[in-house]
Amino acid sequence: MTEPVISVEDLSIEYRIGREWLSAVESVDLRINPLQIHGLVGESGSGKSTVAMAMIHYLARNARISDGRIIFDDQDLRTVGDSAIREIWGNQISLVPQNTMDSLNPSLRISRQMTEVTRRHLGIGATEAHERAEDALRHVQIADPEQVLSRYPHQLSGGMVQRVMIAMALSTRPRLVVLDEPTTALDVTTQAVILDLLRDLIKEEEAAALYVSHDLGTVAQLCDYVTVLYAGEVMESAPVDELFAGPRHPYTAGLLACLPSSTGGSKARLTNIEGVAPSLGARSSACVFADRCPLATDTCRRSKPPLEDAGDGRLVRCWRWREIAAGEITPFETSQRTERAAGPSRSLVLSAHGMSKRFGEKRALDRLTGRRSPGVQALRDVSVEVNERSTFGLVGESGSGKTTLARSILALIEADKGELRLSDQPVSLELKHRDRETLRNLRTVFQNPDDSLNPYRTVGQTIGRTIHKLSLERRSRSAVRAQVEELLTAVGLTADYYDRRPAFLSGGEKQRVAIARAFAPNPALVIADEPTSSLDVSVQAVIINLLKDLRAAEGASYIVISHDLEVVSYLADNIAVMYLGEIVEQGAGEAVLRFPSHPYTEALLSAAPTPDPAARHHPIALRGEVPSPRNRPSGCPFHTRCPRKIGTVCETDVPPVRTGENGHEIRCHYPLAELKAIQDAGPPASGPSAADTPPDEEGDR
Amino acid sequence: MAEKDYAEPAAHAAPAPGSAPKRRSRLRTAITANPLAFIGAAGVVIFVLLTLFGPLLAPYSYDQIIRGTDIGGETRRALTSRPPSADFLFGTDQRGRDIFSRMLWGARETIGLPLVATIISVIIGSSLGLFIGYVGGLVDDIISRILDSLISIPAMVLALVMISTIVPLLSASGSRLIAVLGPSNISLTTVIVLIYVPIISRIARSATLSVRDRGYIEEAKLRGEGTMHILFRQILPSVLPALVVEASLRLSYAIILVTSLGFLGLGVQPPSPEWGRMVLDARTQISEAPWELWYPVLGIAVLIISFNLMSDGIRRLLRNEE
Repeated sequence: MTEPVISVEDLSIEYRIGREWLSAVESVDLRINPLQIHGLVGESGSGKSTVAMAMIHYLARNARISDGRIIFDDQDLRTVGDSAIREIWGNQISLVPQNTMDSLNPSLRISRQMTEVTRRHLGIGATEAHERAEDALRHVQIADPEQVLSRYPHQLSGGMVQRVMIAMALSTRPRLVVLDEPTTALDVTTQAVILDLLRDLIKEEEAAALYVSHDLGTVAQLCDYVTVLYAGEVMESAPVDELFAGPRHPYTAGLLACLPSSTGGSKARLTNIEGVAPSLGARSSACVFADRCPLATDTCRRSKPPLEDAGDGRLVRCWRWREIAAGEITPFETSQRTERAAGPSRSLVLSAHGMSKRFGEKRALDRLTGRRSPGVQALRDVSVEVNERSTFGLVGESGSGKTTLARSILALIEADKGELRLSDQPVSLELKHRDRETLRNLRTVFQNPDDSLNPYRTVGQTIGRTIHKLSLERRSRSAVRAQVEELLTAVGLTADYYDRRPAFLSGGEKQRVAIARAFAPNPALVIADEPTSSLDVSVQAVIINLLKDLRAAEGASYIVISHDLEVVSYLADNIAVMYLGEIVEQGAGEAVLRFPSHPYTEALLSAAPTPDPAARHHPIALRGEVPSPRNRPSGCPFHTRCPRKIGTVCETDVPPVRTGENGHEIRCHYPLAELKAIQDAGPPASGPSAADTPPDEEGDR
Repeated sequence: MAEKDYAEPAAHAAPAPGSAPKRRSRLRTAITANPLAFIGAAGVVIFVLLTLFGPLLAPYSYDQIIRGTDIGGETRRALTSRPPSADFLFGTDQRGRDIFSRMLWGARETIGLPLVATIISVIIGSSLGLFIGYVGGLVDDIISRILDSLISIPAMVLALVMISTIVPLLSASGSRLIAVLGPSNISLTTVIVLIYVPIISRIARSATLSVRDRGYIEEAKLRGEGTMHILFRQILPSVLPALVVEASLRLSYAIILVTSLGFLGLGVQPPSPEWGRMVLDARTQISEAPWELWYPVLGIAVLIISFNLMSDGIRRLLRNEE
């Protein structure tokens, strides 16, 4: 057996809250072997970041390690002194943090920050350090290192900064790299490239890595070995293939079954893990997962199972893992019940035609001086149609204009041009000219549940006010209350929530209240902008199921916006893909996502991390990042990054709209049939990715 | 990240349903955690009660010149500059008036006037700040610039100019209402309001900006709420903590302003016994009758310290709540 790079034995960590010390992490065991990328997965509050930070002996002020050992290089990091640990940090253990913009000093050039590390730890001179920094940047596929080194952090894009951080972390040839959600803030296509890069670099440098994430998809794509944390305890750890193929802990099984992709394309209901994770300090002597486990027995509720060796290097903390492994019991059944009530009808609930919006023109000073500020064209002549009782999905990376489109339809932003019809009635683009009937029929669920509810108003006041303002007939106070309680039950809460304030609700509960509020006046169309992106996986599944149930029950339509293709493809009947303010492809969901035709859609799909280690592949690497809408490329906006670019025609001519079956439309110079033929022939050569990108194009963000 | 993960469950745990004894012990821990704030608050309560009921407690009227016969003596001469004694708790001044009574009467001008002026400023300033913060655009630009220019004028200079111009004008008007309220009271209040409205509206404005684009405000617009509802029902509650802290701080500054103007002879006009004015009058007596100076000065100091301690406590309390 190989000697692990770092091993954690029986680690327990406590946080001081008020005057008490509450246990956050309990007897965690973890070992990372050389060359291994070890994934640490868990939902928020599971203690994954705490464990990762404790492993490099870097904890918050109000935290302490109450028990256990952290063995690195034959010494216990808990016992080495401050100066010794500083020799280890940055030299033998390095960190790629989550929020990279915060981690670089904004007032120092990149060169200074990169050479500082190597000069400090390797004891080399300025010139040598500079050369090394250049090499390191070239290693992370930055085409013009000299340029990047001379810049300040804010002059680089998010993806570029992340590359710099990775280069910096690897520059001292550390033995362990800790990656704390390094791609959470990035777009999918950038994330795919970074993950691909990380996997290769870590192997090449012969380092080991700890990858902390909540995203099972990226873990499956990157890691060799996975440890699943729940409520501060290890539930299961196993080699990645085995964990995804045959989870032995009910929690792991539940997490996997929650994912929209778990239904294998059928529109079956997602599995829900009922209940919520125990809060800090509420942890008892029972199995921490017993309250939410469908297989829990009296034993589980009475005593905590030990972390047992389940063979093949696997560890499981469950009383019943043997039965699960033998296939005698299954924790979370994926129901195959497909439910499709009344199918989408042909009549339109919403049609938006020629929507355009330009930002940054209406500044007072500019108007007075008559100067035209350059502005950003956020929407360019976008048209969408939503059928009754159907879901329309909008996909795209940040800056694609999907949120602007939704807000223009809601009139939270006033579009410059365009025509809106709701159930065939023309609707004003200005909110103040909309009548009550329009407001009633067009409702929304916001992205962030924390700010969509007024913290000073109770759940009952919030929903009741909406009913009062928008419902068709005047109702008495008690009738409104009865309706609110009915709505609360419909979204899976109880009537007790009526008097609660948002501060006492969890993220998922807040989102349910927001959904109840959206549905209160029986709307015809609900626009949900990233309704699950700030929620944990298990909560996401609950909300998605709820949205689906409500559509069936209330006969409403949705526009669902998400960067997560899994969520959109699971919910939507029709999908539109946006890029730089225009729709590059739209059509029936299956047509768009199963047989992608536009090269951008193809790249998006290839970049989406699938939670299946067997489906690992090098994603189609798009060059650079989404260009700023400020200097939008001419011709086809995608030509700067398109892996299937034909030639100058893409740069000069606006591509025509090609139509296929069932209203499938793409904007590309290739005819549909020809595109399909090339795509069937295989992915584009993903050789030079960022390497040949002129740095200016990425740097100006 | 790590702290963030755990902040929430703690917040959930703290306001857990507490039975009555538990709540009492929480009050006790709150007091022991911040004893100064409670001393300040107690002081403020006492001062406010004195403002309301002081004249009832006062043994003499504020302008009554006490003669020997008043306390059972024989002489008709005014008892001037008597040191503190059982008869005159704080002594008498050089004209023979009871300082204790004068201070009780004077609390109205010293505390009441700034309090009223601050309340008026908060009402006007917060409404204005909420409005311009929410509406934004050109309206906000113009009004904000005007408010900025008002802030840039030094408070004392503005006060001097206002008082020297307004008071004669008001006195000449001959209106009964003005006569009852007193021209100098009106002008002092106007000065305080003019100085404070820009400051308070700036705070209300910036607090409004931070919540203006929240989802719940947009939701309110989408259900057709009017501007008034959005301003006062949706935004005001979240702006209120900042306003309360500011108002409590502003109040002690207003007291300082009023007493300072009084000391300069520009504030509330005699015979009203405003404490700053009393200090001015006692200044010449400093060697013969120092108590004439002590009590008003001590009164002002204790008053302002109490208000500051309380406002500090409020700020800490609200921060903890967040």
